[in-house]
Amino acid sequence: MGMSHWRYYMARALGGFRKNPLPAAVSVLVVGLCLFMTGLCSLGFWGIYRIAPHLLVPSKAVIYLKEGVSVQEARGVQKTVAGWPLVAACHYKSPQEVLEELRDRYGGWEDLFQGLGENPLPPALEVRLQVREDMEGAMRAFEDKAKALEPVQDVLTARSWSGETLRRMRTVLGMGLALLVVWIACSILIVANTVRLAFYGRRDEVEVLRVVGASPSFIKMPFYLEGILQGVLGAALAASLLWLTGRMVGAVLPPSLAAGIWPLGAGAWLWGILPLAGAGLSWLGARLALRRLASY
Amino acid sequence: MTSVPFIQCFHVAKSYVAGEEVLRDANLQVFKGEFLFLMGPSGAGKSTFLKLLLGLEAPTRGHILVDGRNIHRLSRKEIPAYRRKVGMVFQDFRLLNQDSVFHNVALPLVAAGRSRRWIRSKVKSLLQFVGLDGKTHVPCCRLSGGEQQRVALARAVANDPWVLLADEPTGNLDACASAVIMELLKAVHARGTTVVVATHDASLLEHLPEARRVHIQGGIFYEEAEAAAPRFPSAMGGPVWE
Repeated sequence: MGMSHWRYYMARALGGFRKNPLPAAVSVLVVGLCLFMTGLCSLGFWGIYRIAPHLLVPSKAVIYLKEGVSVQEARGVQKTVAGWPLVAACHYKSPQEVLEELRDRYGGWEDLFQGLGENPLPPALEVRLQVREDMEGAMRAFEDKAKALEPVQDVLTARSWSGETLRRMRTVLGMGLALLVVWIACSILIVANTVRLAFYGRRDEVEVLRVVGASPSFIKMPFYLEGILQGVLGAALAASLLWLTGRMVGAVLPPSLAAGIWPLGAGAWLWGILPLAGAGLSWLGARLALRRLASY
Repeated sequence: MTSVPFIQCFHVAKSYVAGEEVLRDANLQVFKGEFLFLMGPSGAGKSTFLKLLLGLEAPTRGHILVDGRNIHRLSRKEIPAYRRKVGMVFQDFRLLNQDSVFHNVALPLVAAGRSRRWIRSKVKSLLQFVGLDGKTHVPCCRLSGGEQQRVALARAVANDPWVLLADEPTGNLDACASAVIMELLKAVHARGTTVVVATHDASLLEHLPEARRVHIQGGIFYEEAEAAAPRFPSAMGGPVWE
């Protein structure tokens, strides 16, 4: 394929833009909006997936120790538990601290605590767990493992509630992915239809090319380039809109939260990958449109 | 002229609608270097036959051999190369009207993957041949009908084809422009190219009285002497190639 081929392809692709500016502009706009929605869905759901478990899933557990367990034994259990992979942090709470906490929590029920002579509560370990994909299973394993320790009386976790929350989150994520597929399919179909329209609009030209002995790839390539150009321009538009959205999110949410759910600090992601994705999607669209056209 | 037919058509039929055959049992042999007028009224099947020869359409029945190869059995990759060896001129010119004369003539050369330098030199000589070297960069839409047909002719012979097919090449032109086109076709023929001109205009024959004349009637080809006879194939001694 000579250099003159590529010059010809580019000239034809740009010529297509010049000849039909309105359909081309509409296509760029709609592809841009579709890619923006795709990006919004991806980033939004990615952010929710990352942040939500930390906000929604109770990842705390309490290990109650047996009565009469010495502080030294309790510290030993704390050290053991803190070394488990699922455990993010483990704090020892003396019976007095546990009682204080109960008093704080049930402040309106002072009568409950008045009759107590000696503090009947056992010492406890307050554990913060890491959020996992299979939180319910992980919590169950944690409970079993903790109960197997000699000084442990009981273990409390929010196992069933956590599992349910994560299951629902996975459903939401699945819906998000389905939405993503819909937006991607929309982008591809829009490019396909625009390329198909351009092809039909230049049927005479295609006929001339066939007559003079142009190969199918020679005939199709300008249309591919035209579609890819639309995709790249649409992606640049989408990247700009996403960048603006990121700025707005950054202005509204606290910086730590905004950075967690909206990773727009990485400009290369937006300005590099999105146009590439746009080019790829529009190439697919053009391929879909030209598959049966320009046949011999 | 060699004794081996360059184009051979055997019992070619073509129909676009079931039961209505444009070509019924077309048999023809054209020798290399021949100049052939294919005569017949509008709708007789002349254009259809030329499209079959160029491989733009496939026959419903029969075979067409060009240079010994059945052109409708060529692979997808071979078809463009074949078409570069068969130039075609249309009544309505079929130019890219917004593009310059240069771009139109260069198109087959670009499609053939020629170098830029080669294309420039070739287009220059082609435009000199058709007398349009002063209008290289003029958009085709600004040319007269005769000039546009000359551009189309230059484009058709750009790849030095074996055969030049002309479908009513003077149909949209006045007598003067027609004469110029016929002179150019004669010049192309003089260089050794086989030329097939499909026309309903008998006056064109005056430009080349020695050319072979084949008439098409009822989807069948007849040499002129046979066509002058009664219009019943059985009374005319059969198709040309037999």
